[in-house]
Amino acid sequence: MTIKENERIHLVKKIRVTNALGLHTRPATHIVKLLQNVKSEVFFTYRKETVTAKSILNILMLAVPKNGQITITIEGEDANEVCEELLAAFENQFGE
Amino acid sequence: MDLDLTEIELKGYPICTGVAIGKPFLFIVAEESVPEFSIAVEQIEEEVARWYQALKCSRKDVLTLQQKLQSEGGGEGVAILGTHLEMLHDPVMTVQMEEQIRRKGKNTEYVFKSVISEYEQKFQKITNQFFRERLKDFQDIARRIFGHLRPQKRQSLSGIDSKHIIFAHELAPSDTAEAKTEFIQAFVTRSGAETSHVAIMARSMGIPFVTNVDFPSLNLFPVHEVIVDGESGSVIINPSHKTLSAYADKNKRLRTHVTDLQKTYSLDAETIDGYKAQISANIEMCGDDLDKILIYGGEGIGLFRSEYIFMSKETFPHEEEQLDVYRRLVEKVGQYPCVIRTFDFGGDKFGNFHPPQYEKNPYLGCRAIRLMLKDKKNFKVQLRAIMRASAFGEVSILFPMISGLEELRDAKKVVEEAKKELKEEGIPFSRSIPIGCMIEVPSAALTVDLLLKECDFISIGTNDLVQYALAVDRGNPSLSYLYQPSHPSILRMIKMIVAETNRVKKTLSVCGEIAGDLLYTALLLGLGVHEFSVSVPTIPSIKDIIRRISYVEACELAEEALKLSTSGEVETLLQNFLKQNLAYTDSTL
Repeated sequence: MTIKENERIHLVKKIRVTNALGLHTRPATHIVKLLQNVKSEVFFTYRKETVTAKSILNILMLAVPKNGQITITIEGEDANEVCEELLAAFENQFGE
Repeated sequence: MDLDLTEIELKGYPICTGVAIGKPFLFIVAEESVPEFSIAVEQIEEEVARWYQALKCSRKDVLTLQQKLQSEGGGEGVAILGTHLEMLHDPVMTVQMEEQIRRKGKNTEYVFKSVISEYEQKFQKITNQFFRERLKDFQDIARRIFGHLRPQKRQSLSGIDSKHIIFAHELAPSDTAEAKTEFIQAFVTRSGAETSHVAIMARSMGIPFVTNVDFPSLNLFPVHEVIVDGESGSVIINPSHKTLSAYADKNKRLRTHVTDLQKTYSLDAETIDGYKAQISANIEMCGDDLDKILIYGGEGIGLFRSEYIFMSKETFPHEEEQLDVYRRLVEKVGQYPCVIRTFDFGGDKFGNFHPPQYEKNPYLGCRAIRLMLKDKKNFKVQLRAIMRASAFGEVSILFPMISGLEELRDAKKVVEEAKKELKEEGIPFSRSIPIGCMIEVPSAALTVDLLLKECDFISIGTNDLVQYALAVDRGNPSLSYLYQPSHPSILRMIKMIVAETNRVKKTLSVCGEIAGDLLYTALLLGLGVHEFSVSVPTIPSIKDIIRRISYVEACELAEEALKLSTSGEVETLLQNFLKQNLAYTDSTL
């Protein structure tokens, strides 16, 4: 789903976490580093809880186990690129 | 001065033996109340700067600690502190805190306190144990930041500069890393497990440690002195003169004894009548105790519990990383053998990369060799690393929790595969690495003759053997009276295992707690045990008792013990024997 409002792109994706331990410290750190310099706002939603994906503490708090499905929301001008990079990182299990 | 203080005896669960008498140091982790006040608009910048300064100091602390641990070779804490560093850079800690201080216009401590409570509540709702545990890291950091925010010094174990007994609710890894061990007489905690970091540290430093002690708030009444008995698990607050002098005597005897023990360092573990036993070390970490093995006259490493050092890692340790550790051990003990037990995860021990899976009966579940046989890829990585270490010294491989011949065969198959790979890759390793079985499951004990046909040595792990043979969970305090290593069934089993092994002239060692318990030394010797694998600080005292008794006496003792019908009777027999032979022990305490 892509909605263009002015220059801001709004993306919503669903993805399944395949890492053996779910979104634990290492993947969380990986994600935060990946998002460090992006302009978009990135949010993860799991079981009705939504947090910013730019914080390790917040990601950990979601306690997403293996096979948990999260919703990623990306808002901002570089949303498309960010989305691509994020999905790739999930895909290769954050290099684990 | 009115000294009308009643003696209070508290009971806990002893984790590390030894007796300490001293003054308590209450290490309070709980935060005291935090004042709330408004900050004038023109002072907000200053308040924000104060926050960032505290953050900066905390990062510096953690970095210094991490380097300290790194230089001491402790792989364990380094990774944990790395996570702490990451968390100190989290936006929750930086921009969000700044924004909140500005928006609320309140003092930093108050704002931070409310952030912490908010996260504590959220984390406590998490049902997944593994994720909930991360809260401890967060609290550890929060406490450190608080210390830097407040004008008074952060309470830290590093501030202790005279001998004290540490009372704490629970100790965090960074607390123990900071402590100057020479000033710590004992640890008393409300919670903490045998496998916790502090337990591992206390054990290797020989510091008495009693946990599960529900101590009253020590601030409420004057406390002059405390006795910690790491053998019985007693913690006695304000002991009476009578108790104190009894313990002081015991302690004095023990201390003179320790000086006496130094004389045994260079002597053999030989009985009066010339029978030589062998004492080797149980090792968990690559700390100071490694150097002490040879100083104390230990003959190599009888059991390296390989899982501890890698437990805090989040991914399975790769081959080179494992080789590094194994090589260090092998080179440290020089010409003596080094027995490396493959990963023993499960039950009550979990690595971050092998998190607890829900099991109804974890001790009867997928643990130790069972777990590794399900993860052959990683099992092979470990076996390759161990084999490669054999190029630098004498290495043996020990499989934990073998329950029958099929498991041994399956495990050996993986060994063969690893051998083949190394050969093809032209990587050097010894072609004659002994393979051993831990005997800790009754089914293995009863079929030890069959296992012996296909392995090179046996190691009796009494901790689990007792638990499985008697069907008693050793961690369950309400059943502790049933956890009896002196039970006739255990004696018979050990006798059988030893007899079968000696018959085919293969090596056997005992590596469970009873190997390092003076009460059992003569009995085990009499049952035919040649090798005792014990924690490093215990080596001198086990050697000493062996040097005080005769082999003939030990055999007679074992024979007599085997005739008894209850564990109580066996224990009385052993205690009397010890009393006769060791003047410094006193069974009334």
